[in-house]
This record gives sequence, C-alpha cells and structure tokens, in this order.
Amino acid sequence: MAPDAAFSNISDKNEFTKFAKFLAYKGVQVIVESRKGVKIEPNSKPHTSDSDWFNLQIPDSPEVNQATKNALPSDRILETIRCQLHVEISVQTEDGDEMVLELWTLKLDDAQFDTSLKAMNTVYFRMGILLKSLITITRITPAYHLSRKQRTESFTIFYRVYNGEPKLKTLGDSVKNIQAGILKTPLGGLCFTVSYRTNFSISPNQSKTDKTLLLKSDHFELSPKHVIFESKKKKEKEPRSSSPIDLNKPLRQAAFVDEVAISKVIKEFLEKLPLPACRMAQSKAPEEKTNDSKSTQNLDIVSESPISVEMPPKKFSGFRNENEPPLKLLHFPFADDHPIRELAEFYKDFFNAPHLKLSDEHKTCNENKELEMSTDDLSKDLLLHENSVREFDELLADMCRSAEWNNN
Amino acid sequence: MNARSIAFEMSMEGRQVDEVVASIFHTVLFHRSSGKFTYTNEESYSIRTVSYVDVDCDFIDFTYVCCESEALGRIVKRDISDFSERLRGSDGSSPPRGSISLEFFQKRRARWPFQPECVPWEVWTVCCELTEARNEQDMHTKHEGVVEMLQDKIVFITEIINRHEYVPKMPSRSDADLIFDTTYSDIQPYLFKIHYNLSGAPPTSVGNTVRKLIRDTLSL
Repeated sequence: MAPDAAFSNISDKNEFTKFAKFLAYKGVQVIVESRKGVKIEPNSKPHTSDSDWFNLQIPDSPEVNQATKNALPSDRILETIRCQLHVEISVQTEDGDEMVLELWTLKLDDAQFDTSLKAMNTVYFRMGILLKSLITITRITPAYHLSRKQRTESFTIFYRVYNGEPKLKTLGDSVKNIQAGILKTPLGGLCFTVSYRTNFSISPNQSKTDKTLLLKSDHFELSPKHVIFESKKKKEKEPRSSSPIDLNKPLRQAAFVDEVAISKVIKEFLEKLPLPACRMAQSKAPEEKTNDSKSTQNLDIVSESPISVEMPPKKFSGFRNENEPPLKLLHFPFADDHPIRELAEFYKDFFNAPHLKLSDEHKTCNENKELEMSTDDLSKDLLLHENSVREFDELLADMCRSAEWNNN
Repeated sequence: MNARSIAFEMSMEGRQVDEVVASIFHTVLFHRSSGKFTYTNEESYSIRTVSYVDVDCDFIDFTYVCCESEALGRIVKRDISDFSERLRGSDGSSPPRGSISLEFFQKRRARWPFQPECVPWEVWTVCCELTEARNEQDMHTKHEGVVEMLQDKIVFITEIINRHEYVPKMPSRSDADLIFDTTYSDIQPYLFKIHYNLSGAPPTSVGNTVRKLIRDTLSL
C-alpha cells in the first residue's frame, strides 16, 4: 500500500494527478489511433507545436478525449485509475457478428510504489517512456494486423472506454496478457496492460450449454467495403440485398475456371434441357427486414455494459452469396494448432465452391422469358416437365454412357 | 558505472536479418531518444516533440515503430546492412553466425592529450544464426517462429527500459554532449554506436576494450 504522505507537498500531488490524467488521455489516444488501420508514414502528421504532452506527437481527437472524459471524471482521476480504466477493442462483421478482441487497462497499483521518485520532471519524463512502450506494444497484438485490413475488408473495429471491473469474460477462454511496462511512483505503479484473445473462433459446442452459436469467426475475412472507424454508435448499415442470387448481375466464376469450357458445357446442357422460368424476388422484403434489425443496435460506448459475445444463432445459408468474396483464413499467431482450424478449413472449401456463369446469350434469354411469363404459367411448366421426362431419361442415359466411356 | 548487457539469440533466414535487427534496434532507440533539448540556462531546458512512424517489414509479418528521423534511420540501416551482407556472404562457419550490438555509452572528459573515455551503460546484442528452410511448410513454421520471438523480445525490451536502471542522469548544458548525441537536427538519442562480430561471439564493447587496454598496460 502506498504511504498516505507520498508527496511532501500538495502541489506535487496535484501535479502528479494532472500528469496521470494526461497519461490516461494520451494512452487512450494511442490505443485508438493504432486501431484505425492507418499506417503512420513519415511526414503524415501535421507539424505541431513543441508543447505536446510527454514530448510525443500523439493525436488529440476530441471524440476520443470525450470518451475518456466520460469514463475518467476529472474530480476523481487517481481513484478512477486505481479502480482501473479500460479501453475495449471489438470487431463487428458485416453480418453483425461481434467479438471483443482485446482489453487495454491503465491501473495504479498501490503495492508497486517507489517513494524515492520525488522529482516531478522525472515522473513526467518516465511517463513519456511508458507511452512509448504502449505505442510499441500496440503494434504486436493480433488486433493491430486485423485493424490494418479494415479498409479492404468488411468489418468495423470499435472501441469503448469504461472504468471499474474489467469484462474479461468477453475475451473467451484463451487469453494472453502483456504488460507494457510499469512506472513506479510514490503513489503506486502506473501500468498499461493488454489482455487479448488468442482463440478467434467460437466453438459450436458452446451452443449446447450456452444456447449460443457464432458460426463465423474472424478466422474468416468477410466481404469487401467498409467503414474505417467508428466510436459511440454504429452507423446504420445500407440495406443489403438478401437474395441468394440476383440475376440482374452476372454470376461470378471462381478463380482459375476455364470460362470457355464451362460456357460450352452449359450451352450443351441447356440445349438438351428445356429451361423452366425462374420466379423469384417475391420473398425479398421480409429477409431484408431481418438483416436490418441487427444493424440498428445502439452501442453507447460509455454507459452501456460490454458487448456480449453470447449471441443468438445467426442465420446461416451455408452457401456463398454471389456478391461475397471467397473466404480466406486469417493467419493469427498462436492459433495454428487449434482443433477448430480443421473445421475452418473445411468450411472455407465448402463455402468457396465455384459459381457457374451463364453466358450473356442465355442470361438475356432468361430475362426475356421471365418478363413474358406470369405466375399462372406454373401448370404449363409442370406439363412441360412431364412431357420432357423421356428427354431427361435420355440425357441421363447419355451421361452414364459418357461416364462409362471415359472410364474405359 | 555498471553496464547492463542484454543478448537475444535468434535464428532466421538470411533475407530476414536486416528487418529482425532493425525491429529490435529501432524499438530500443525509440525509447532511448528524446526531442531536442533547448537549454534556457545551465540547468533548465525544454524538450521538443518526437514523432514516430510505423515500419512494415517485407520478409516477416511484423510492424515496428521508430522515431521519425531520416538521419537516424540512415545510420542504423547502413550499419545493419553492412553486418547483414557480410553475414550472408560468409562461408566459414556452418550455419553462419554473427552478432551485432547497439551500445549506449557516455563520455568522460580526459586530460589532454588523451581522448575522452567512452563508458558503456547499456548494450543490446542480437546473435543471429542463419537457417534455411527445407520446404515451404518448414519456411512457414520458421517464419511464424521468428515473428513470435520478435514479439517476445519487444515486450522484454519495454519491461527492461521501464526499470530505469543504469541510465545516466540528465546533464547540464555543458555536459549534454557527453550523454546525448546532439548532432541530429530532429531528435536527441543517447550516445550510441553499433558494432558487429561475425564469429558468433558477442562483439567486444568500447568500454571492455578500454578496460582490457588498461589491464594489459598494468600487467606489463
């Protein structure tokens, strides 16, 4: 326990409190800046005055400062830091899946005091070094690499600042801790620590006990686009097409597919098979509604309790929408030997099954037919199919013969 | 003054040497550099701001932070490249081994005609052993090993530096040049030098050389 009369005079204690306050403000700025997904390039920052706190050119975003201010009341700086100040970093995919990635904590540990450190300019100088350590450590956790991909992938990284007990349960069972240095002062040891998840999948087994199932994890990078960074509230997402196939758009082929061969096979197939008209787009509206309801959740950073990873089961189509890019596995350190990886590999292969592309000719044909045919054509379709049974049988026999011929 | 010596043993591919060593040395230098001092009188000074930049490595999946100083970057790169080229070109030992050190020292004034004595107070050494991957899987495994090892070293560096041991006191204006390298226009690192040894043994520091010289002189 730090001695009560740690500082010889009140002005030193006031000064220490002020330094601790700015250490917290700048610490949060450093953490948030590092998760914006922006690489700091030479000459990328505007030239500032030489009166920067701790002689470091750390950004001073008003929004981040406000979030810190709400969690760190100015009349209870040391008390709040003693009770711990946290910055939670979480990720949300386009589908609304959320996962807390890491939890940064600033605390004042009473047991780690050093009464020999009296000079306030030394305290200030060492706080600058502590911030440098924080800057360095923010680059080595998995969330840094993930945040750098935000601009090209479809997930958003969020942060929130709160004080009190850390919500470590949201990080899952497998957590790693790093301490980014400790500064021993007469009032206790000031230190930044980070706890981050090493398991980026949520096992389907959990659903038996927790009644939760999160089928997608950030082993998978989901569709392109997205927001760079947000804080307090999630932006309302653009309504997204929930139709599995939109024939107004060309179907996309998988990589390395022989386009000519595929279109030839399809052409031959369609010549032999009378193509029934597709009718769709009637059940679009309700699905869109379902998707939207998830995206309008309000995440008030400061006051709201932490986001839970225990989420209700997500709708899972099992197949890749044509607008979605193939899944890729993210390579996170420490995650290679996890049994879920095999499942992830299987899921990826299954999900990435190639899409067939119809030729423009057939697409136009389909579109025309679609326009011409109305819903009462159903009986005609059935009749047509019934009449074509013989053709189907012939086609099947032809294919069997062809397979036998190939085997021989 | 006592010197603290920290050595890291690491094995890596030849093409990774520059980036592994630079990651460690720049992390240390970032902590051991401050803004330029402006003395208002003999004892009072103000310190200017230090900017920092992110560096993405090409041959390892790693990003490190370094001071935004072109001159510092150039000098560190020159010394590391020199070491890396010689290590990779060496055909003596198998596998090739070498060590490179970042040594912080302070100068002590000496009477004419002697040169000021350089006394090291902290030495960071990276002992490199070059490996070759047997196949692609092996290369992938080794690559991940290097990244994990680097992460551990970076955490260790921050732990050591925040202990604030062995660091010289802030100098008065007249002694600033004995502690800091004041030749840079944008930052002010503690006096340092980089030296290397290709036999695999840690290089001999300036201070050790001086002590050895004195011992040899006395034993005559």
